[in-house]
Amino acid sequence: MPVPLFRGVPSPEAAAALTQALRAVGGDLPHRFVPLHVSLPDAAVRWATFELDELPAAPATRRELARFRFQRDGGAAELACACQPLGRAGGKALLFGMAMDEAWRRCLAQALADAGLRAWTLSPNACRQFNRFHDRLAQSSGALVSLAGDAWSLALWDEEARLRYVRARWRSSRDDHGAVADEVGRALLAYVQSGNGKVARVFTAANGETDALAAALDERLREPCVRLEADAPALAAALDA
Amino acid sequence: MKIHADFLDARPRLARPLAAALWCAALAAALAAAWLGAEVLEMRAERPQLEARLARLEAQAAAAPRVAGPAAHELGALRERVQALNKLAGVRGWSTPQLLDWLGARLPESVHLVSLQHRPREGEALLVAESASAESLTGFLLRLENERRLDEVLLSKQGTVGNAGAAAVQFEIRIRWKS
Repeated sequence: MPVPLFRGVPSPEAAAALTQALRAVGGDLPHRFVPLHVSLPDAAVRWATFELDELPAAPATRRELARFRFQRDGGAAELACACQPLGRAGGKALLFGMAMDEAWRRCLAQALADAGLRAWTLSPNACRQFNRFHDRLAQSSGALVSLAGDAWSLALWDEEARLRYVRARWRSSRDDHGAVADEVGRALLAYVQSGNGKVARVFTAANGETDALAAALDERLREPCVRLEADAPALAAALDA
Repeated sequence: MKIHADFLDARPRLARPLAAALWCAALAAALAAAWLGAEVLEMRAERPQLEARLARLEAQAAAAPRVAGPAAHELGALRERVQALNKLAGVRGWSTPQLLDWLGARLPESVHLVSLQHRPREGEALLVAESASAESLTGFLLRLENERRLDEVLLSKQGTVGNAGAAAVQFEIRIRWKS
């Protein structure tokens, strides 16, 4: 992309470049009835798992509550929010929330529409990775380090596979595996030392960079991390279908 | 627990019911199309028989001797005669035997029918009834008024006949049938 996305206010140049890029990668998708899932860079999203005394019953009210909490915690920009109840833990109701800049969400939706594409879902890469490998991940508490071309994230879940903490950052360079591993190590330590956090295993999913990232993580963690790779033939078959 | 939250605008609340309704309608249309298709096949199977029957009837019609109908002036004269007969026979309301039968069923025991003038073309009748008591005649009059097929029941005259020892009351009643 000639123009950086998800930084500052979306400009007309960014919108045009995004539309052009979507047209290029969309191919004949506008003429096909296929569910299109759009992934956002993890760093473009703010994350939180709120511990509430009472969970509002209406989804709209829950979303407004999440928006209020995100705005209270910082950021004056208009936010688009998504949330999902995760059940109760320790007498508190857990509400998993995500927020992103509403202007960028509108820009992305408009670019998709201009490219003739209609998204079925719009969610961050970390959620996709977590859902994709969910059955393997959900056997105990753990952490997933996801790496994409422009951002990385660390997602932590408890024994019941409920996401409790997510940290995401933009990448500084393509060779930042050591720096990412350092920050992951520090975040894991802070999470575990917070008292109620446990991490039984660490997973990493980084597409073509999985080995490099896993090696950097293994140097810093007590136990080797588990490498997760998408099944390339199955993925190709799914894309060709 | 998988994460299903996403940033898309909420879908319209009626989207799911509408989609379900459309699928049901499409299913119903498909079933109707299948049924119509079966009907078409069935009718197509019957077609040779029907065509053979039609050909047979056409052949019979062609073979039948042609009889010339009456001339136009004869038809006109016949129509006039039929109209005249219809006019003569035209009656409104009931026939006299029907009226007498109906009166016989409704006349109280103590009331006698003295006279009856039936005018079927005008659709009315004038009857004179007599009784020793006015109450019986009044009851008879009420029965006539309650008859739905009668348009008008009118007590046109009321009088007394006989001497002082055996006086009787007479009602002259005009009735008219609904047209």
